[in-house]
Amino acid sequence: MTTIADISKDNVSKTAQTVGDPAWLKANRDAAWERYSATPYPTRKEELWKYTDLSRINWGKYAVGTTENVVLSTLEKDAAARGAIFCTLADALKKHPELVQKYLGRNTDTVNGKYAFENLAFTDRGFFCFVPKGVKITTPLHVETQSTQDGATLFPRTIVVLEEGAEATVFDQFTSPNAKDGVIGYTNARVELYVGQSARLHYLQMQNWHNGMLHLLEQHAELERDAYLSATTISLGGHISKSTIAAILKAPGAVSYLFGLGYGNDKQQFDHHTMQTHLAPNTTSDLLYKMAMNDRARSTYTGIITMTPDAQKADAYQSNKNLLLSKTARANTVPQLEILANDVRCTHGASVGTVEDEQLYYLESRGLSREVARDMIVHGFFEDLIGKLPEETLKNAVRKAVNDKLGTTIELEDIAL
Amino acid sequence: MTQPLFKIEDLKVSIEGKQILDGVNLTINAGEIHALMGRNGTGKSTLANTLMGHPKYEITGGKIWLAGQDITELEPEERSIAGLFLAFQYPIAIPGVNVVNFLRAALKAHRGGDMPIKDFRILLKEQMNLLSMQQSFASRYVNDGFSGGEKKRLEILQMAMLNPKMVLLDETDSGLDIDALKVVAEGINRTMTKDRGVLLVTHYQRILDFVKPNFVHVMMNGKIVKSGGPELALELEKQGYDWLGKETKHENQATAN
Ligand SMILES: Nc1ncnc2c1ncn2[C@@H]1O[C@H](COP(=O)(O)OP(=O)(O)OP(=O)(O)O)[C@@H](O)[C@H]1O
Ligand SMILES: [Mg+2]
Repeated sequence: MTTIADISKDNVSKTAQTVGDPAWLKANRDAAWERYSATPYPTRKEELWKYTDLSRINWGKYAVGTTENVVLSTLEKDAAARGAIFCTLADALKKHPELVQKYLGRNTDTVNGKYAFENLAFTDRGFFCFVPKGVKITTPLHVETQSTQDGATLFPRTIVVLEEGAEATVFDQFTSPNAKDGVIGYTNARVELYVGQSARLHYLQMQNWHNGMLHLLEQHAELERDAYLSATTISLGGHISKSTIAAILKAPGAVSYLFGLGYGNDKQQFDHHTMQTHLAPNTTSDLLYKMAMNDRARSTYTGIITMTPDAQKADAYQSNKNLLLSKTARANTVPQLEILANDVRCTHGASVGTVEDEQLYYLESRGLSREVARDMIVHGFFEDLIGKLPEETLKNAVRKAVNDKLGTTIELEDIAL
Repeated sequence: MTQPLFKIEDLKVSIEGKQILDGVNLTINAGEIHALMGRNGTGKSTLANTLMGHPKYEITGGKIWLAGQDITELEPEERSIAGLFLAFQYPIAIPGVNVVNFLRAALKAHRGGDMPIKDFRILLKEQMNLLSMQQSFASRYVNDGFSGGEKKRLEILQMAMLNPKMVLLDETDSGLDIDALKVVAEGINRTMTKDRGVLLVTHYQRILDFVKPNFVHVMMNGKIVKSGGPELALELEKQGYDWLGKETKHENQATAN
């Protein structure tokens, strides 16, 4: 068994074989492997890795070359007939290699350094979604990347491409069905979202892994003229979960919303880093990240808004709200601005609060136990964020995942009178 | 003799070391409505919240009985399940939790299981109609951005849904216009039964024209200093509390001598 600790170029070839690489992809992998080998692991001296220490991870625990499921919902017939594609990465490489080549690895911007090269060299699963010009897909596309084996290693890659005027909603979920306690795993994922001119993408990414997962994710979104992106990140599982989420507003009129929700208990560690990068005038970005931490869980939020000299009349907002549910839970919040244009609007805010005793008392006076009362307040804390999701089914999926994590059974779906 | 529904025995309470209630005694039988009046800051809400089990209020003496059960040491949720209900003077907002889900959870806790969604919907609709509440109200977040009147209505709606044995109403009439007052009073009267007891804290005779009390008590300095029939409220309305102050001072002196 090969593990991450003794991984070699051989494993690159094996992965390429399993996936069924065209030559160009194999070449990309080899190049990534060279950079991977030459790059040291980041240390806590680096700003982005200050709060998440992976230096003591025993990489020998994670076996490479494990196969795990990627389950996809089916595409509407009409959209498929009009050229939309929604399939596993391996299938896309077989059926649409030229199209995939245009996007896979097109962008090598990364702040994750070695880990990003690792993903590119070993990409072993994932999916490809392509919506051609003017095609609008109404039903959410759902993909579930599953981990079931102890010590499994996953290098998923999500690619979503919306051409001009296209619309889609994608629900990208990472989950461990029936994982037993004590099972471990390592995921290093890369997500690339290309939102074309006047296209509209709702992208919901949720990880509700088992608690033994080490989860790293780097998400990169590019928005063209008048493009609209709403990208939501739901972080519930894993013992360490570190996500880097970037929205690059490349052309005038682009609008991006970044939302994040995290609930941690036990000794879970969450680290979210966001980038709202305005490269063009009249671009707008908004961001809301809400984290609730219980027990000894810890959350770090660092976010940077960048306005380049070209980004005149751009608007950017950023808000990070934290709710601490125990005396030993922690939340760090570090907003950062880098403004190089003079005519922009930029606001950011952060807060760290606790559950109010008066709220607990009020709910308890109605017969709710302290646990249910607290969980209800946590749900309430998240609800404005969940309300921003485009579909009732997605809202309920997130509510249910939060509910499952909290362990109390509170009915939350909207019921009309 | 049948046992009283609700009994407060020599209740003494302090907050952060400061004594607020100085030996309150009160017995409420099933079917009775008692009004509790008194100046600001005399301890009426302290009494109501202590009865409900607010953790901030420390009971330094006395006992509380509900239907023969000593509830002095119970948690608020246990008191609620036992059949006690407090309509808050200042209801608390729970952002993000809508009225429907909140009521569903409360009802579930009381019934020990979920109510079929259909039945729940029918019950809620009916009760909301009776309180002249629009249906959109149900999907709003609990007390979040509610007007004073809306908050009080929601308290009454909760009471109607949970159907408690013993109801404490802390200034449910305050801040209501006359129409809202009527709706709220009707809500109290409609759900009143021969098995229920009510303790209604108020500053005004106004509500007592609609919700007729059997007894009226006056609180001063953390004690009930005078009790009487409905006429006592009318007297207080006319004369204020000053005459009582003198009267009780005399009484106190008399006992001291
Ligand atoms: N949580 C608290 N912390 C500190 N002091 C309190 C608290 N609650 C009440 N008190 C004090 O206890 C006394 C009685 O207050 P309480 O609210 O019971 O009066 P009340 O009779 O209900 O007045 P009102 O008619 O204005 O509602 C007041 O002096 C008040 O300041
Ligand atoms: Mg009061």
